[in-house]
Amino acid sequence: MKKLLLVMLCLLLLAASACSSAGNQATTQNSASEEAVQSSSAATDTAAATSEASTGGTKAVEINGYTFNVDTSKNPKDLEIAVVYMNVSDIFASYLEEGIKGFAAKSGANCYITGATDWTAESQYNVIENLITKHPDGIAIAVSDDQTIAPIINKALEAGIPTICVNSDSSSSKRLSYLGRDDVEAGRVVGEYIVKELEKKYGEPKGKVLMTTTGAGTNWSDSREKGSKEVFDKYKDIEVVDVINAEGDEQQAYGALENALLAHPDIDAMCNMGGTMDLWGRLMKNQNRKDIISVGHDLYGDVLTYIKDGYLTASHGQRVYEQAYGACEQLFNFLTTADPSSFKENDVPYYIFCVDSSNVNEVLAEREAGTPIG
Amino acid sequence: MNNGNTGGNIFGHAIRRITKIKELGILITLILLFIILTIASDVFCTATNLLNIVRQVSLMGIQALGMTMVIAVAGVDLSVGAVYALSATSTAVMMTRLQIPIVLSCMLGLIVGLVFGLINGIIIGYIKVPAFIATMGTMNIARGLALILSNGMIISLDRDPVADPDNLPGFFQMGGGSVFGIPSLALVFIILTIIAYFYFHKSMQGFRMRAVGGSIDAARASGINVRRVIMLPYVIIGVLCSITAILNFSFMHTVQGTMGEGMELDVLAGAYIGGASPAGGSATIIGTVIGVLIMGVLKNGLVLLGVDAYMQKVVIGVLVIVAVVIDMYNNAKRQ
Amino acid sequence: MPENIIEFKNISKNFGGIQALRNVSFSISKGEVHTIMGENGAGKSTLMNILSGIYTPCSGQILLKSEPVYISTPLVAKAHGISTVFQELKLCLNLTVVENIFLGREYRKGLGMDWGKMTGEAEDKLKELGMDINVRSMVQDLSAAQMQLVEIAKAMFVNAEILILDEPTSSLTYNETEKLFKLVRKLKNDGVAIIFISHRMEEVFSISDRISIMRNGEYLGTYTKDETTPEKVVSLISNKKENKDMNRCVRRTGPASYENKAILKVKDLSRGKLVRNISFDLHEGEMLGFYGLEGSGRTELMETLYGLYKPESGKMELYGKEISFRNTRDSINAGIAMVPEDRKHVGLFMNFDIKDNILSIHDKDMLIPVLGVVKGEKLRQMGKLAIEELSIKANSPMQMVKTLSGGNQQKVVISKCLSINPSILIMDEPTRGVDVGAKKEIYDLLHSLRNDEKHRKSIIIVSSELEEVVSECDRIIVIKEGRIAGELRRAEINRDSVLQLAFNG
Repeated sequence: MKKLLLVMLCLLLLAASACSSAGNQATTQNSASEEAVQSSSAATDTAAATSEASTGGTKAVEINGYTFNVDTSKNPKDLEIAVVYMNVSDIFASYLEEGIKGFAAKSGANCYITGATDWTAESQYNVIENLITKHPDGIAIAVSDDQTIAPIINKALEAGIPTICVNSDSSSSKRLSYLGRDDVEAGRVVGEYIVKELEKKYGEPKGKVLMTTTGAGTNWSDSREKGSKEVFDKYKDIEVVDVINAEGDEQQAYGALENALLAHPDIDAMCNMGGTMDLWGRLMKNQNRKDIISVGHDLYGDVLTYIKDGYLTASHGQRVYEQAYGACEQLFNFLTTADPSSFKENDVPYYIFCVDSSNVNEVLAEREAGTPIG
Repeated sequence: MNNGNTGGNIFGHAIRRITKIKELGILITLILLFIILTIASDVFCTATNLLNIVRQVSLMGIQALGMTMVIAVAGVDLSVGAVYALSATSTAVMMTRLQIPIVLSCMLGLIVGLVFGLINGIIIGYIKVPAFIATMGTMNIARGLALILSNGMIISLDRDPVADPDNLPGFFQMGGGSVFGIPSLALVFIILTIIAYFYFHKSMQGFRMRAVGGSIDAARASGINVRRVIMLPYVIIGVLCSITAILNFSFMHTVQGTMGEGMELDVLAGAYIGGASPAGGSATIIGTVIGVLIMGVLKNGLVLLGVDAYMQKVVIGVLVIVAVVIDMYNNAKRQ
Repeated sequence: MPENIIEFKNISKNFGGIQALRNVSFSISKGEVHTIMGENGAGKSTLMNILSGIYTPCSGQILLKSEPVYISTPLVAKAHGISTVFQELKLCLNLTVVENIFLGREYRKGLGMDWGKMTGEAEDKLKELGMDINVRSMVQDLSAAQMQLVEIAKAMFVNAEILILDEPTSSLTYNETEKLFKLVRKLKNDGVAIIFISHRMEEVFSISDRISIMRNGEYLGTYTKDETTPEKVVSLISNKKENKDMNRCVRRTGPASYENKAILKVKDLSRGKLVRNISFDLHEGEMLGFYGLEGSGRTELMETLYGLYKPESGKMELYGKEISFRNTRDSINAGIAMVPEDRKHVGLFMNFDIKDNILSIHDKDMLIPVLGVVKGEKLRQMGKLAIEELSIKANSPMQMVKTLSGGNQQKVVISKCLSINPSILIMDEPTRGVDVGAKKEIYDLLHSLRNDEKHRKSIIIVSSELEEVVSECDRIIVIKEGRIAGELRRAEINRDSVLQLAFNG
């Protein structure tokens, strides 16, 4: 009877291994034999990376006290770039994955997304630890928590793996670069936008603001909240009536927003910290209200349509596709040129991309034409 | 009558004794996993990786030791992740916000686990509320308290000052250090496993737990204080939750109100895969350790092989069901 | 001559070697209350189970209204108009009376159910039967008596022509019994044949028209109420004429054990309905037997003595000192051990081996001090000793008890109890499910225990097997409905005298 367990387990593992070779090939043209070659060449890559023997194109590059052995003559197909997201079962991971796959298709490198299936820093720590053992050529991480993950990022760098951060930064680590939002700044931008609109409405900066998010306690939400509140605190007549954490699945989140609106029917503005723009737009539409100044983050779902129809005022995309694409690109460039300047300074304003009634039609058209907007 | 030693065939005797080992099935599974992964990945069978695995399962494993005893009395404890979070958060808050010295904070943190363990134990053992419901209740209470205490923020010892910063390095050593190359978390796991083994399998209290799990009526008729015996495992696991919480804090330097979410399911999975029967009575410490290792090896292996993270959950879920079905089949066959 | 509705012809049934019924032939008429009587194991239940389709006879025939029928399943029995009201009521407590009555035969209306119609019919039927019960009430809110009436109503709804009532009055008060009998008489007058199984003599003689008697799977005869008396009935059951005593001379000669000093004195022990003002003494080295019919309260008494349940009132005195047991640990420490009735669930731990079962009753005496670890070697030795002393057929003390036969399992329970060297040993059904050979071994052991010069143990035996009690004990206390019906000593003891007390005492 325990033998049954054995057999099932082996089958499961073999199936899993097969899945790995199939699933993570982001390249569009891959025959089965190539996949087999890929997994075995991944093993030889590891050997090449850990041994000191140079084979023609290997250079030792030093950045910030860490040494990386880069073999620029390697076939892009043999380059393995791992992108670690916080919780891969969250829909946001799929947005990142689009960017990753996009770059993989263009460059031919093996780029894939991985990570834990919960939001805890511990799980991410373990995943990264195991990843270090696997030793891909480059790692990009969206950290669950700055301080907790910093030590393991540094370990990755010590192990000779170029590591950068994307989407969520660990500034206390020695990561080689960061691409993505400065969420505090993004919060400020949203705050400023709302203040401007309130001035338009009342002639002076005053009014009641409801703040909403789906991720109270997370890095990104808290940072944006901080930025927005910084702005609001400057004006004594602007009052933040409540901060709503609309967590859980769609139904629960929508319900929380509904209740909040009922409790504060006379708000002038809604300041979103992430995750609720789409739902709030739907709420506004269901209640046929275009009077609340609703500003926030992200452009997914029907957000653009709601902006066009006037239910939402403005939202700030973070160019998720570009974040993921850019992260893979930086690592790829370094791995193929051994040039440390591949790691660029972060372009903060680039990732705070404002869409409101003035440009929503163009953006919608772009999206319909196939450009990923996020 | 005893025909095991006739003819002096030591080898045959050894084989017979080995096949009688209850945990043989999962042991073979673990060994097979090992072999498969060693072949599939060059780096699996390295000292670093293996030690990593043991360290990664240590905290969950320590709790699983306690869970083995809980399951043995036909119980279950869903509150482990929450009590873990609450203990860690309490300790962190005491150290940073309340500026209580480190050692004292840790002791008080331990008391948190003890208290919740007692609450669970009394509600389940004496008031006879079903374990599932009772621990679901304490889970929510503990989680809520953890979130309130932490205020939704992360407390980090690298950022927030403590009352006696000279003791910090010592505190960090506790969880983050290593002895002869073995990570101290792993060391604690090993030591606690040995203690748990002797307690559960060799002491009277452990025996009584297994007796109560086997038949409450027979236990009562044999003069065993059933209520107290049922309460004890919950107290033990409560304390273990605190211990692991403080160790984790020492290792990661941070606590989060949401830490440990979902941990109870992993701990239960480890125990069930290890052969603990939900009907009570047939748990073993060794089995649980093997079950926990299987999960750790699997998670590690899936990353090394580059498998989807989702696959992890599927595999563990399947494993648990298969293990329990086999256990039921075993029991039915024996009736 | 009232017409026969049921005729049993040469019904025999055996269960793998045990002959439960042997050539039973008699008949039951329409519109009568026909009671079947016999001691435990006489075959009454088996016969009724055959009639209700739970078993099928190995040979013989059943005629219903002079037509041979083959009652293969309970559904077939129902179809023939046979309904049974069991002692353990088969109602769903969480449903209402209406729902229970129509369970499985609900009236549909469109996609839903026609509760209106069902409720109406239920109300009518209950009124017709003279029952004053609200059909909308939940069954769990009804009293035991009312539940029984609902069961009968349920049976009448499917137009039962034959109604079997199996020990219906065991949980009823006098008034409730009267109400039940009123209904029974009404049904009788409507032509229903009612088969009544009971051992309560007063009731049997109150309600029955005819009484049939069984013993040992055999049918002895049918008598009308006027043709016989309670004493005569019992004599037939006990087979007084052939007073075969399995006479074990040892027990009937020499000094009587009840003349030794009394070590345990019980006074006015009461708990609930089944233990009522019990008073008796237990003497040193005595083998005291307790006998009673089903439901008389024997096990409940022993459970109270042993400390499994606390008595509501009464006193116990052990070796001259007053004692009270808060739990079984107290009684074990006082030197009392019990072999319970339910071997599999209360006597043994099926998930343990022999030595661990023995260990379960022990406390600090088996532990290494300070560490609290069990003395493994000592335990193993104890197990080996137990196997030897009681001739348990097992390979080693590490053998799992679930692999042992019934007799050997019982020996394990006994050795567990003996391992604490008790002064009093209570044995509830000591040889149930035990083969003949093991039976003898157990009794030889018991007698050697009580005759042991160094430490004379006193033994209480509770049994539903009359033979056992009669042949092994020189004093028997007969229990009836929670009270002591009488006490018999030595020469007074025979099947008949015991049964007379059990039925008529």
